[in-house]
Amino acid sequence: MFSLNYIIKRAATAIAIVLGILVLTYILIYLSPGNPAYTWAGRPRGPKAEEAIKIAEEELGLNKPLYLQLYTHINRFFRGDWGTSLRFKQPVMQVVIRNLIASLELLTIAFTIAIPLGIFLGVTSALYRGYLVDKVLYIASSLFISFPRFWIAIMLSVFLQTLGINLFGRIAPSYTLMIEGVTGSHIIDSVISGRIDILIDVLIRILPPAIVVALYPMALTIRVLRYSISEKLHEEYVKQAISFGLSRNKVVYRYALKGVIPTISQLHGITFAYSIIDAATVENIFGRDGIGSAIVKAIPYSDYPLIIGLLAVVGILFILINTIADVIQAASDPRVRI
Amino acid sequence: MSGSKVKIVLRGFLSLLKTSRKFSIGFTIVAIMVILSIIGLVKTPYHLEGWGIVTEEAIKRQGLAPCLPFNCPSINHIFGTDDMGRDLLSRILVGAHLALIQTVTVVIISITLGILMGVAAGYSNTFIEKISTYIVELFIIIPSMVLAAAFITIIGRGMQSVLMALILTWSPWYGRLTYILVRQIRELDFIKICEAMGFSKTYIVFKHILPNVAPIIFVEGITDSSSVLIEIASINFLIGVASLTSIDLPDWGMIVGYGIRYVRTFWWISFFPGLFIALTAFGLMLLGDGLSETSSPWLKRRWRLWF
Amino acid sequence: MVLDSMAVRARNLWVGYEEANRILWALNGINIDVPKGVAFCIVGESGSGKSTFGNAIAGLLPPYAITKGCLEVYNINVINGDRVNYSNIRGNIVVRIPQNPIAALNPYLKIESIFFDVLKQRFKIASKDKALEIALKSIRAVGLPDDVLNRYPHQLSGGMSQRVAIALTIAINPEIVIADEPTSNLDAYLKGATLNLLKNIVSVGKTLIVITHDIVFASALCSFIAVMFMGNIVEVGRTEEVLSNPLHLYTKELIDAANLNFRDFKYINNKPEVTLEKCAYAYRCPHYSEKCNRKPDLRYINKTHGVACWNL
Repeated sequence: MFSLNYIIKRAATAIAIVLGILVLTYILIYLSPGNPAYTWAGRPRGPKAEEAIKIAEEELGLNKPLYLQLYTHINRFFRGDWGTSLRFKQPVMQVVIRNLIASLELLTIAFTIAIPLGIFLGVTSALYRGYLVDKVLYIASSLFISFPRFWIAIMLSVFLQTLGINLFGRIAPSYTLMIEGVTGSHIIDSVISGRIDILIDVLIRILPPAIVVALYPMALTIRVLRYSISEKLHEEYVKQAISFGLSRNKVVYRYALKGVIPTISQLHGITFAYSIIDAATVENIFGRDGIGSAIVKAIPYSDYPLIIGLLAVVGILFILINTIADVIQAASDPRVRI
Repeated sequence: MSGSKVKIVLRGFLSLLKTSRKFSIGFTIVAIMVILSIIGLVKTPYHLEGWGIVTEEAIKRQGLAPCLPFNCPSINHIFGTDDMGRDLLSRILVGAHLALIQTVTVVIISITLGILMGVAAGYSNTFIEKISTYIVELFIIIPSMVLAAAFITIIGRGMQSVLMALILTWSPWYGRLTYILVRQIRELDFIKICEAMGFSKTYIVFKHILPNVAPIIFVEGITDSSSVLIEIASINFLIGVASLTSIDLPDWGMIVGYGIRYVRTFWWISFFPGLFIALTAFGLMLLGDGLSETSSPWLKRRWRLWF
Repeated sequence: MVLDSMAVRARNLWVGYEEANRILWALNGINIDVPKGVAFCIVGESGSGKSTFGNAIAGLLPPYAITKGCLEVYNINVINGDRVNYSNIRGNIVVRIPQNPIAALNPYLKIESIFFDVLKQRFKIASKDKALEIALKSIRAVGLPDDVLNRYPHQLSGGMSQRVAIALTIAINPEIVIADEPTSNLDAYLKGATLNLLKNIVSVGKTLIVITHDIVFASALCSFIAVMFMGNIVEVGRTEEVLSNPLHLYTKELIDAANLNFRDFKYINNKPEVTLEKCAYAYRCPHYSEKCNRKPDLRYINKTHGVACWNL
């Protein structure tokens, strides 16, 4: 297979980009137009404004020379002190992690729906190309890609409400106090506490938003597979496998599909990043906590520390996902020798 | 462009319209949206402000009954009115031009910057190449939504923050594509011949590399414009949700976002602008698909499992 | 030919490919019998339809192929009118050796995995050890070292991959082996090695159908030869007979070209549309006359030698 060298190289690139993200956050804070302390303090107005700005100035250390500022900034980030969220009055790190886990829950469930279903439907579409199944799937996938997911989510939530089903929030209010927040992820926590009824409740509530978020990756997978599997089925080695009399399932899944895994993993590395926008909007519609709700709450308060913290964390998360996707891509093709 | 070139492009365009069903449907939808936006700029059924206050002047100016807030869709107001009593149809018409202008701006500027970046990265010495690829990777990773929120906090609310965030996120995407293409083209013989003959790099770039790279990126841009539109709408949606006061700018995404607090009863505020976003994005996607399908031969045959 | 048991029997077989607004016929009414246990060669130039015939026997016709007529393989009717049914013969009775062996092996699997797949399908062997045994036997039979099994296809050279493909064929043990241009990608030494391997296959009683444009190779390997031109079989018979006494003018041209004996070499464009009714060779035949406007059938002048021409 591929050597350890490749992983190390990819990890090094990833770390370099993480540093780049931190430098970027530095630029956004210290070199923003206007007074950085003013922005950091959340653009305060009114009687207490001057105090707030002074406190921010201290925190940021604006009077020190440039390189020292950069050093302190990066140091602070690694130590975990990212300032205090103005809106939540808590350390930014805490708020970000809490919301991040909620969003990750949603995204993970969405992708576990989207990827297998997408692969299956995409393969079917390629095998029965030109027939009704294919046409229907093609139109459906085009619709799901081009329709705004937040609009679909709105219609879904209204529809559910008119049916009388109330599925808002991540967890029923009565259950909130019953589980210990070990990891912050309700799904894992309810399993740890052994409360299956809470688990069921949480899962049911996560289903409609997860389905909506899953629409985009699923539709994209179907379209990509429709094209690439058709191509693969015309390749020589597939024809040879057919000549050897291998069964249809074997030929399709072990021969054609195996060749498409690198493409799929790279594709999903990118769609994960794009889906977070969908997830953020859908969270707001279904009243869930998450990155989306954090942003929505941060903007009216000009909660700059929180926004910067979100930027850094989401960026680092994406680098992680992309690196993993790249490693999967290289690992699944034996012709790649690094 | 000389006259004959324009004719060739026009003829190609018309033939595409006739042959590819996707292209023609997509083009029709987009054309309708453009027409709607022009109508929105020139004359709307109702003036945008209709604050629900009955004044003599309002009646005289419009000759119609003043608008009341929260009207359901009716004959007077085809799409209803919003919380301030403004006619939703008029707002949607004006919003059409906003949506199109925003999308087109982002796509065009991103393509330009992206091509510049990609060519610079792909056709220069190693140092610039490494730096450019690093910056490209960095900015692709940054989430556009949070970046937009950061810009809004710094610069203030307005179209510029969102547009800037999107341009910063999409240019590296085209930059990377161009870079890959330029790297491939660079290895081809005809470039090496030009280099050996001593032509300047600028000449090679403009005469040989760009004409090969630009059409591909351009088609990719049209296909991406649908995603860009939805991204802009989503970010504006969040701004709309976060809005504490009713928003003046009739951007489609913002209207939808602001309207979800009323969605259980006054559903039309969120529904109709969302519908228009969906239709426009769909039309753009068909357009892009139709265009890209002609460049790659498609097996149009029907076949089932044949083994 | 009037021998009893035929491996392949084709009656008025037409195979065409559906294009945008017309059908391109690759095989125009083939009538031929291939006996069992022989090495049978089909020669012709590019576009003559020989690959299509090979694919038709092997069951590898693309999904947009249109068929007419009747094709029987080992008495199983595989093509009947426009219905096509290969379910019993692929991998059982017929196997194809590919033209481009490196591309024909799944690049994502090790060679031994390909063997396991194939053997499991054919003999329902579930245990890996038995499958490994058979795989080793086949690998050794083609003269490859044992560690080939542990490699990936891209780590093998062209000749080695060709031999792996032949090893896989041996492992399956079909009745008919179709070799599609087995030598076009090989150098002279490998040609010789492949020749020997294919001869071994025939010697155990299998039917070998070789599709090639290389008459020299065909003459060295095969006992029967059929010459195809533009989708029609113009001459068929025992190799010695046909090559020493070619009856059809096209066969004569081919032999001259193979001997590098160019006397009247004209550059001619093939026009495929005009050949459905007339004799396909008519437009460049010096003996063209009125009766050549009807397509000649294969007429046998003795038990095995047949030619499609009105003038003989």
